[in-house]
Amino acid sequence: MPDHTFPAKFEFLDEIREQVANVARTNGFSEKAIYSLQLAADEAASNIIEHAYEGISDGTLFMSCTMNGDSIVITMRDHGTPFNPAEVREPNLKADLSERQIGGLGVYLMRKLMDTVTYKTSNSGNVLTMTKKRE
Amino acid sequence: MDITITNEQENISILHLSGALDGQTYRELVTAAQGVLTGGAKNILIDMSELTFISSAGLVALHVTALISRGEAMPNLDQGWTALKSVGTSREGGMQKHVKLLNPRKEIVDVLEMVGFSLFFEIFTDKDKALKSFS
Repeated sequence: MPDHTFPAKFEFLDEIREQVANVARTNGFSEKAIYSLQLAADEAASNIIEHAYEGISDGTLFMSCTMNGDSIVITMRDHGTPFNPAEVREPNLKADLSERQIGGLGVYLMRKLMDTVTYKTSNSGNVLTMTKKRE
Repeated sequence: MDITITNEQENISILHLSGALDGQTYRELVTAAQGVLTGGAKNILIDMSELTFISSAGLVALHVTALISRGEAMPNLDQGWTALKSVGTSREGGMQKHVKLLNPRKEIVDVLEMVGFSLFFEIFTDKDKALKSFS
């Protein structure tokens, strides 16, 4: 499946989630798994919009969502500032609400919901790849 | 996302959320919560019966709603994400007394549990019981 191209804006999150759900549903993922995939894709796209393209209003996000055997592979590419999820600290989930830093849960959710999350950056842009096996 | 507000008892506002609470819409929840608190409500019941999706941005909105409902300074939403993350925190911990949740779907409960928010937000499936719990 070719890349889908989206303006890097929050109003396109709906469409991004819908694309992922369509591929997952067609390939027999459970509704629970589909929600997880939509959430991981939403978080990945939100990070690109918020961090990679911070202060940039005309950024573009490219997404592909394909099957590789029994696994779904979601790839997102951008040309913004590199934002490597591996460099984000784990949130302290045991801290009380009043002690917690607000936010910082998106990367945690991506890692928790997907089997693999990898990130590569080069002169041609940043590529985030997430996979999850069908149960 | 759509939010409708009903005031069924003195000091309690119910915010009925419909659609997706994500990076595009999370400010709407904070704005609605600010509005009812400014209008005199002391307690907020968030009706999630029609909420289809929540991301980490939605969790930020819940977090901020909990903090401002117990008297922390309201953030200036024109300053965006940074303002939300800088809301002061008090030492009052544990289950939130002034913000509770009604009827989230299973996938949303799973997300709340995954990030530990089920320790802070009481979840009800019966509206009358939820309303009584504020007294």
